[in-house]
Amino acid sequence: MEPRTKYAIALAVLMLVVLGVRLAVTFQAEQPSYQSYFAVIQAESIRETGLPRYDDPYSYEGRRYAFSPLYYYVIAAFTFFVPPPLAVKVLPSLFMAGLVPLIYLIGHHLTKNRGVSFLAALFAGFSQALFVSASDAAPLSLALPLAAALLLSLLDLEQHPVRALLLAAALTFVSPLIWLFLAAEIVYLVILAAERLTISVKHLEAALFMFLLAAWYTLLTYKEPLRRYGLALLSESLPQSVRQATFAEFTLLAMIYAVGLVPLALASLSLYHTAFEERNRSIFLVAALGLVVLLAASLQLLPLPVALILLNLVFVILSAPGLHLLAVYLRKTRFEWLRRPLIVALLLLFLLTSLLPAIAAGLYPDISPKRNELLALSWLRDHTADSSVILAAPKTGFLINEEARRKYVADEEYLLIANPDAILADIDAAYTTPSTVRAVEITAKYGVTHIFMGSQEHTRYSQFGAIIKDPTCFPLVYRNPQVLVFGVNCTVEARQ
Amino acid sequence: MKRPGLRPVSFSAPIAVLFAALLLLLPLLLRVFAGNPLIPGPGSYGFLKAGALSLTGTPTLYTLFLAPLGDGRILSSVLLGLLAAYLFHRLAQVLFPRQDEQAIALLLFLINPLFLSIFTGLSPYALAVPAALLCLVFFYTSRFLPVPLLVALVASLSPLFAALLLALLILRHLPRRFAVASLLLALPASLLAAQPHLVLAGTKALIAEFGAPLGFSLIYVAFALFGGVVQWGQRRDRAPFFLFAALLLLAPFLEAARIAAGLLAIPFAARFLSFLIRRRWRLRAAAGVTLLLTGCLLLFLLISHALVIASEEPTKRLVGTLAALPPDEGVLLGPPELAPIIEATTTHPAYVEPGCGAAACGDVARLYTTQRLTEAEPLLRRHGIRYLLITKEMRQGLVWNRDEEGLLFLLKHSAKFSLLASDGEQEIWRYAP
Repeated sequence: MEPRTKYAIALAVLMLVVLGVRLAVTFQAEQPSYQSYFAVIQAESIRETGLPRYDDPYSYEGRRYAFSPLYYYVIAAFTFFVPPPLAVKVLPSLFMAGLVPLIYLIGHHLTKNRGVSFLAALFAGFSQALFVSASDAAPLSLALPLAAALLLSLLDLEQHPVRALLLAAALTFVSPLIWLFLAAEIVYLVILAAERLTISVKHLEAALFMFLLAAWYTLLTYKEPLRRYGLALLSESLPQSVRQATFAEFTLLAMIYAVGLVPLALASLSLYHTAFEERNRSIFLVAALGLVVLLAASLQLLPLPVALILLNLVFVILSAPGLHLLAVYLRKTRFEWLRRPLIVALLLLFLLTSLLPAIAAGLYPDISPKRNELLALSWLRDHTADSSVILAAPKTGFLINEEARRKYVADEEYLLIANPDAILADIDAAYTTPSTVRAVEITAKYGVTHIFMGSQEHTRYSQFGAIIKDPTCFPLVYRNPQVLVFGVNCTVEARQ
Repeated sequence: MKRPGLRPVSFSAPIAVLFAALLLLLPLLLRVFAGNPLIPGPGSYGFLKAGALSLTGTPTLYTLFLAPLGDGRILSSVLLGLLAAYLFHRLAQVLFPRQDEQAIALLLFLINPLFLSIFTGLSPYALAVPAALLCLVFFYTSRFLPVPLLVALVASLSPLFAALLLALLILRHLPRRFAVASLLLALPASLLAAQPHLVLAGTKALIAEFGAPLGFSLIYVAFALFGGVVQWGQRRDRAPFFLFAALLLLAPFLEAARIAAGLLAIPFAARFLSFLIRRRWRLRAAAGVTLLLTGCLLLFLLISHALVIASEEPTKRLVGTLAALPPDEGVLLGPPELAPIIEATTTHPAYVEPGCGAAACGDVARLYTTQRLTEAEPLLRRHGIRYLLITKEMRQGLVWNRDEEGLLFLLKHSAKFSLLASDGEQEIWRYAP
């Protein structure tokens, strides 16, 4: 059998194993994650009307979203074959498994060595940050393989320019990650200039194309948020508590934990070699992307989880030339016999430091709603008026939207929401205040008719206040072993 | 190298002026269709109210210019815009040897957000920009005698804008005696202008794409930077590009630098777009799409900025709310940026805490944060405040975050305050001492 065929089969098996493990982890929970319900809502809207739901009558009792719709069209296309809740569980895993052959091809482009490229693909399949990111049906799950494909096309721009342009367009329509690629192209060109290497005109033209496309599409899609928040769109739109968690300080330890010790060490070796011994344009481009992500994460311009996922991707890619260097080096010494034991040792180390933590992290017991929560929401849909407003923790928002089809006070999509801090503070106060008057004031402020108390509310609040202690104002109207639903009987009188 | 099939485009002066007229009418018509008062922007209302005097009570050249025009003030801005279009057309003919570059530069000038903002409202720049363009036309046609007078005229409208104009002229080798004469005339003339103040503007007040009415466009700046790179390779005079870069650095602090940067970006951007059209692309698949995207971006910018102007205060909603005020002369406290509109459209003086800018400070900050009537009443009495204008933005984080925070508690629970008018977004409260 030719090595090419042998590796193609091995790669296909690896991809199936990665997909299998991801699906096994994902299907530990019966339902899609809370966050994935947003994709379910959008996919259903596209199936019914042909358009995503930009004006949502339920979210925040009525609001307008700003997002790029392509990802949801892809999900919607799959819902013609499988039900939406299943599509949002399977597709992210499928997209992420697609990273495996892409990383192999990038590794092969960088090293021309099939063995080390295969190992890099293995790292990509089971690295911590990349593995955990598959749990939610979010545009990032499609953006990552698109980003890897774009990187491969940019490395091969001289031969396949049209492919690069098409992938750049696809990534632009899926995620704002295209801006990182644009910045990486600029850094790459600067590195080439600093190293006195000739600058490819095709790269300049591709960068210009990407800039114009990204600028036009971003202004078109995010016009309203840009007007409201300015350049600080990503961070300013979030409530303080969420902002602190999302844009947490970038630390080396967090990076080592997310990327994994083995890919990090191998990538460092490759970077050292490129910087000080042998200049390599392709590695400069990958390194430029890593540099841009590091910089954006350090300046808190990029949410930390996204930054760690991207760094994971970059370091996994760079681990291929690192491994290749190591193999070549060993071949030159009397320790060539160490090559296979070393690879086994590296794989064992990877298993311990990346694979097992990744699977453990993927087995979150708490990211999907329980069956009893769905039953409670079905009850709400069948037994409450259409105009009812439900108070729940923000994480439960999209679930209520999809299952109960009732208005609610908040969900986790904060863009364009006026003063989300105050809304979150009100929700927290409503659940925890011992004062019935205060709780009634808040429910009256938002026109709340029902209070939902499911697993997310139990996780968020260690103890509840007046709503469970005052059955006169908040009578229990529904209960099952995991969910309580209270009605609201009292109101405050407005001063004349 | 010119590509086959591409003919140079050119505009005659009348077409340029006609096009300018259509573009300036666009946002004004949008305002009329939306039911908003014709004149956009609180800044314009400062000049409407002031007559021959500026807001600070002293006349400036611009207020003296506006005073005799009466109701024709807004028309004066539009006419000055048409004059600016004509002058830029002349200037482009001198600056760019190629007809297509001239046409591109003119288009970039006319669809520039700054052009729309300056010539649809009232601002000293409506006079300063045509004067500066006339000065540049004289300079580039080597007729230096009127240059010092025009620099002085610009200085009497905006000293900083004049300084930047003079810097450009000196960098482009204005003969020394004319430079000295310009300086000597500009210094006393600048006393006639309102004094500039240094305020650090956020991105929303700086960048047109983020809704800044008098901000520069990021797209223009990017094109200008690319143009600078192209020009760098052609080894042309680099001094104006350095001036442009310096203006970008000053732009967050000075309005004049922001406007000058937005205008100085045009020639560089025109050079870049012309280069883009004429070049032979290596990525042939990208050539047509890139030009199409450029066109889409500029069209988006034009329409988007016209809509910004159309929705600027005062809106129909604000006028309706203010109409509920009784015809007395009680002082009204509201957002400081709306003060010129309040004073120009009602009989009520607006209270603005001196030296605070857009943020509440001093007595106003104390008043907004107190929940005690005994603390609020002396403050209200000290400044004669009888009415309070509360906007949605103030309730949603600008001043307060919660329903009964600070003064909102008193408004809700004290009998001394009564709600005069509310449209869901803006409220007027009366204080009865």
